[in-house]
Amino acid sequence: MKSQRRVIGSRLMVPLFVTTALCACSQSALLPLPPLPDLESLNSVPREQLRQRHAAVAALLRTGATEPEQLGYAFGQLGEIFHAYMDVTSAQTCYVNANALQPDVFRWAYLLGQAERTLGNHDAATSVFERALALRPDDVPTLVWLAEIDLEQHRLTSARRRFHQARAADPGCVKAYFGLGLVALEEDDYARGIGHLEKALAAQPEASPVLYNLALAYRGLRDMERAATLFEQSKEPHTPISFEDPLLGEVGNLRESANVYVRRGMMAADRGHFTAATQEFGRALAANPERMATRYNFASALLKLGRRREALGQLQELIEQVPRYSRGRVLLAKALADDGDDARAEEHLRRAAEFDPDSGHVHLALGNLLRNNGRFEEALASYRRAQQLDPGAGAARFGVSITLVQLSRYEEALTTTEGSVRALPDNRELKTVLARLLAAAPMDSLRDGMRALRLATAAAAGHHTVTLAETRAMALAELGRFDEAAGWQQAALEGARNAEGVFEWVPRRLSLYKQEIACRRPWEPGERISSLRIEGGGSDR
Amino acid sequence: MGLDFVHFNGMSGEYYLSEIMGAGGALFDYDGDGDLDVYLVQGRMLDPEKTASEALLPPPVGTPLSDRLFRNDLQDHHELRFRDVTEVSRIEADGYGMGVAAGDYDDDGRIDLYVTNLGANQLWHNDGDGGFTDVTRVSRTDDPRWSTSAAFVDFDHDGSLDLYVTNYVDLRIANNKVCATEHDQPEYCGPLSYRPQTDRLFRNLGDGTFADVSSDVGLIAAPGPGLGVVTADFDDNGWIDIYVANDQAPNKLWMNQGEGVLLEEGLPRGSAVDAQGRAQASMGVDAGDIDGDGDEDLFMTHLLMEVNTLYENDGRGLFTDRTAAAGLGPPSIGATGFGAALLDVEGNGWLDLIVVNGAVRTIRSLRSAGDPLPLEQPNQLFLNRGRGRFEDASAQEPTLALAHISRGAAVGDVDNDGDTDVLVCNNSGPVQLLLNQTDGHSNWLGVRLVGSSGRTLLGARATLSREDHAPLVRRAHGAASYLVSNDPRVLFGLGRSEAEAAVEVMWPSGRREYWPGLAPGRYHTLVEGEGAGSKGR
Repeated sequence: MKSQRRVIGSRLMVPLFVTTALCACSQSALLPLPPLPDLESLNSVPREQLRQRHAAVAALLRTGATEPEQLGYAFGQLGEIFHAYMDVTSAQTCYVNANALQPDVFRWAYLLGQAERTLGNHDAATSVFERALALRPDDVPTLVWLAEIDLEQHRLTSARRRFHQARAADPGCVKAYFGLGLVALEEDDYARGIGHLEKALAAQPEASPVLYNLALAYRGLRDMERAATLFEQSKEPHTPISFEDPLLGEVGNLRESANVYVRRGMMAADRGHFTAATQEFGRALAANPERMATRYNFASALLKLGRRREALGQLQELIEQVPRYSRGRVLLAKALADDGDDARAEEHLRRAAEFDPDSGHVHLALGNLLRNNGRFEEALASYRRAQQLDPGAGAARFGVSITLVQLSRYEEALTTTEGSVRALPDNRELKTVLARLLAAAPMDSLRDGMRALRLATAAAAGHHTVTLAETRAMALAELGRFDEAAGWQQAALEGARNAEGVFEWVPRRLSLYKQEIACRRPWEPGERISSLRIEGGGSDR
Repeated sequence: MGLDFVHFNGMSGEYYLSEIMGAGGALFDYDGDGDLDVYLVQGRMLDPEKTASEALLPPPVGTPLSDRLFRNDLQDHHELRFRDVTEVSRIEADGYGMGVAAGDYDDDGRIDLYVTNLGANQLWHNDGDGGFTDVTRVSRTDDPRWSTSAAFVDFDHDGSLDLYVTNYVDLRIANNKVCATEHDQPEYCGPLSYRPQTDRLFRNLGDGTFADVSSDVGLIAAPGPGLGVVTADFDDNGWIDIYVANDQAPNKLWMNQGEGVLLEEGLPRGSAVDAQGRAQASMGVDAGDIDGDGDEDLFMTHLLMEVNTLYENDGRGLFTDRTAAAGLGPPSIGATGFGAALLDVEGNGWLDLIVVNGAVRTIRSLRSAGDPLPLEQPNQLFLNRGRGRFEDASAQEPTLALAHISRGAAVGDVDNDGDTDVLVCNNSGPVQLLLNQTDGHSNWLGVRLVGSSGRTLLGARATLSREDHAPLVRRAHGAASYLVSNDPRVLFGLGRSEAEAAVEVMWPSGRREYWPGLAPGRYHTLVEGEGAGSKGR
C-alpha cells in the first residue's frame, strides 16, 4: 500500500511580495536554482539544452559578483528551456528570479505571467501581466491573456475593457472580437454577441470556436435554422482561432524532442506534405528509434510518396521490433499486396490474426485480400468476423455485402445490406450497394427502381463520382428511363476514360442502355468503389 | 470499519492505458435490510501470461484479486460495520474490472449487478439468499469491448430496466502504444491513440433476457470514447434521456423521443463541447438541479489544463456553459477530475459538488521523489452558495487533502443519518469512505421511490414543497459520476426547517402522485399507486 502524503498537484504558490521585494542587488534574495531533471534518462538534444543553460546560471551564481542583467538573462534563458519542456514549476522559479534581476524587461514579465497562468495561479498571473502591460502598453497578446483570465473568473467588465483595448490596438485581432462575443453571451445579450462574433467570423470564416458560439447566440435569439447551420459548420475537425503569440512561439520553438518532430510530421501528413512528413518522422526516429507508432507513420508517409522499398524496410524492422503489432503487419501486408506479393501479404495477416484475434482491422484486411483473389467464401468469413468485432465499421459491412453479391447470393445480400444501411444510415458505400441491388439484381422480386433511384440520389449528394453516376444510371434504366441512364453512364465513361485501372464494364453498360436494356449485374468482378470525379453528368427528370 | 480493500491496477511496465483508468464501486442494498452495502471492483494483470507478483506494484500477499462485496451490518448491529461476504455471495468477478451498475432488472425486489470490464462484462442476478448467479450468457448482455460506466434505465417505459453500457477505446495487448513526455520519457497514451468504440443499449424483454438494440437506436453509427453516463429527463417530455461523457471527443446527449427513438443532439443543445467549440476530456458526470430552478443541469470533470464544466439547463434541454459564473473554472485547472457527484453536504437544500482527482500524466515532482506511479492529486469540495454559485471549500476538509489516484466517487447515506456520505475508489490504493459529519442542526427528509414489487423506480422524480420555501427537485438515479452506482434514495436537505413537507412524484410511467404531510428526520417509502391525486400523463 502506498503511503499517503499531502500533495498540492503541480502548483507552486509564489507569494507576489517576493517578486516585488527582491532587489537587483542580492543573489541571496533569489529563489534557489531549480535542480536539473535526471539527465541520463533524456535524449541527447534536450539533455544538452538543459545542461548548458543550467551550467551557465550555476557558473554565474558561483562568481557572486555578477551584473544583475547578466544573471537575469541567464535565469530567463533557463526558464525558457524548462518552459519548452513543460516543467512549468521550474520555469516559474527562473522567471521570478529573472524578473527580480531585470524588472524592466517585458519578456520575463510576460513569460512569468504565462507560467502562473499555466499553473492555475490566476491572481498572480493577472498581477504579473499587468506589470508587463505597464512596460509595453497595448501589447495585444498580454491584453488578450488578461482578458481571458478575467473571463474565466467572470470579471466581465474588466474582460470587456481589455478585449476592446486589444481590438483598438489591432483591429484585425479575431480573438478580441471573439472575446467580446463571449462576454456578451455570458450576459445573455445575444444580439450584441452576434455583432461581435460576426466580425470575428468575417476575419476568419473557418474558426470553429466562433462558429460554435455564433450558433449558440442565434439559438439564444430562437433563430434555430441559422443556429443549426452554424452548429453543423462548427463540427470537427476543429480549427482554432488564429492568434500570434510571438514570445510563446519562441519558447515552443526551443523544443527539440521526438514528440515535437512527430507532431510536425503528423501536421505535414494531414496537409498532404508527405516529403516534409517523412523528414520529421525520420528525425523523430533518430531521436527515439523505439517508437513503433512513429516508425509506422514514417512507413505510411513513404508509401504515399511511392517509396515502397524504403517503406517495406521500415515495416520489416517494425515487425521485428514488435512482432505482435498487428497494425504494422496490416500495413506491411497492404504494401506487399500492392507489390503483387499476395502470398506473403496473407502470411502476415494470418500472423497478425494469431497475435490479435480480436482486431476487426486485421480481419477486414484479410477479407479484402481474399476477395481480391477471388476467394469469396473465405473473404466472407473474415468480413463477418470483422463486423462482429466492430459493428460500427462500415468497411466490414460493405465487404460482407459486396462479397455476397459476388457470390450471386442476391437475396441474402439485399437483406444484409438493408440491415447495414439501417445501422449506418450515413454510409455512402452501403447505400450504393443497396441501390445497385435494387436496380440490377437478376431477380424481379428483389428490384425496386424507385427506391434504387432515391438511394442513388441520396448517396450521390455532393459527390459526383464514376461509381455514383453508374449507380444512378442503373436505377434510371430499371425505371425505363434509358435516355437519362445513358446520359449518366456517358458522364461516368468520360470520368473513367483517362484513369488507371480496369473500367471495361463502363462502356458495356452504356451500350446496354442505348439498346434500352437494363443492367442485370449490380457489380462486376474486380469492380471497386471509384472516387474518380465526373464533370457535369446527366439529369434526372 | 471492515472495508478492507486495496485496488490493484496490474501495472506491468508496458503502459497499458487500462492500468490508470479503474476502478469503481457501488452503494446498494443487496440484502434488502435498509442499509447500503458496498461492492468494489478490482483489477488484475492485463496480460494473462503474467502473474500479479510480476507487477511493478504487486498487491500485498494474500490479497484476493477479485471484486469484493461488503455487507453493511448497520441495521443488525446499530453501528457502521462492514463484512466481506464475497465468498458467500458466489460472485466470481475476476475480469479486468472497471465499473458497476446496480438495478433490479427482473423486478423481483432484489438489486442485481452489472459489472463492466476490459473484456467480457458480467450480469449478476441477486438470488435473494445472499448469493448471486452469473446470468450474462442467458440474459444476452455481454459486451467484450472495453466497457466503463453503465446505467440501468427504463428508456422505453415498459416498466423494465434496460441497460446502457458505455464503451471506451479499442485497446488490446497487440495494439498497445507507448507515448512519451516532452522529455521523450515513456508515458501512457491517451484515448486519441486508439479507435473509439460504440456504446450498447440492451432492451429488457421482461423475461430475463435482453435484446441489443444499439443498431436500431443509432448507437452503432456514433462511436465515442465513453467514460461516464448519467440519465435524466432534460427536456421534461416525460422520457428519460441519456448523456454520455466522452474522453477527448464531443459528448453525446441522446434525447429520448419516446417509442424507442433516441436522437443525438449534444452539439445543438450546447452540451457536447466547451465554450471554445472544442471537445474536452470528459470523464465523470452528474446531473441535478444545481440552480434551484426545477430542471436538471449537468456537471462534468476534465483533464489538467481544462476546466470542469457546468452546463445550465434552461428547462427545455438547451444548455449554456456557466462554469465561469459558477466559480468552478480556475480551481479545476490544476487537477484531472474523474468521479463527480452532486450532493447536499450541508443539508441546506442546495446541491454541492465533490470532485475526486488523479492525474493521467506523470507529475514530475512526484516522479522525482521516487513515486513509482506519480499521479496522486487531492480531491475537492465545492459548496453551493445558492443558485449555482460555488465556493471552493476543499481546504476546510482535511480528508480531501490526502492525495490518491482517485477515480470513482459514489454517494449515498451509508449510516442512514440523513446526510450523504462518499465512497472514493482509488486506483492502486485503498478505498475511502468519507462519512458526512454535518452538524446535527440541519433537518432532512428521505424518500424511497418504489413500485409495487418493491423495486426502486429509477428515473422517478420527486419534488418537495414547503411553505415559504422554493420547491426542491431530485431524481432517483444510480448511474452518475465515474464507474459507480449511487444510492438511489432521494435525500432532501431542509436546513433548520422542522415543518412537514409534501412530496409530489412523477413516476417513469407518467403517473403523478402526491404525499402530503411527510415528517422530516426519516426515510419514507413512497409506492407507486398509493399516493394521492393519482393520474396519468
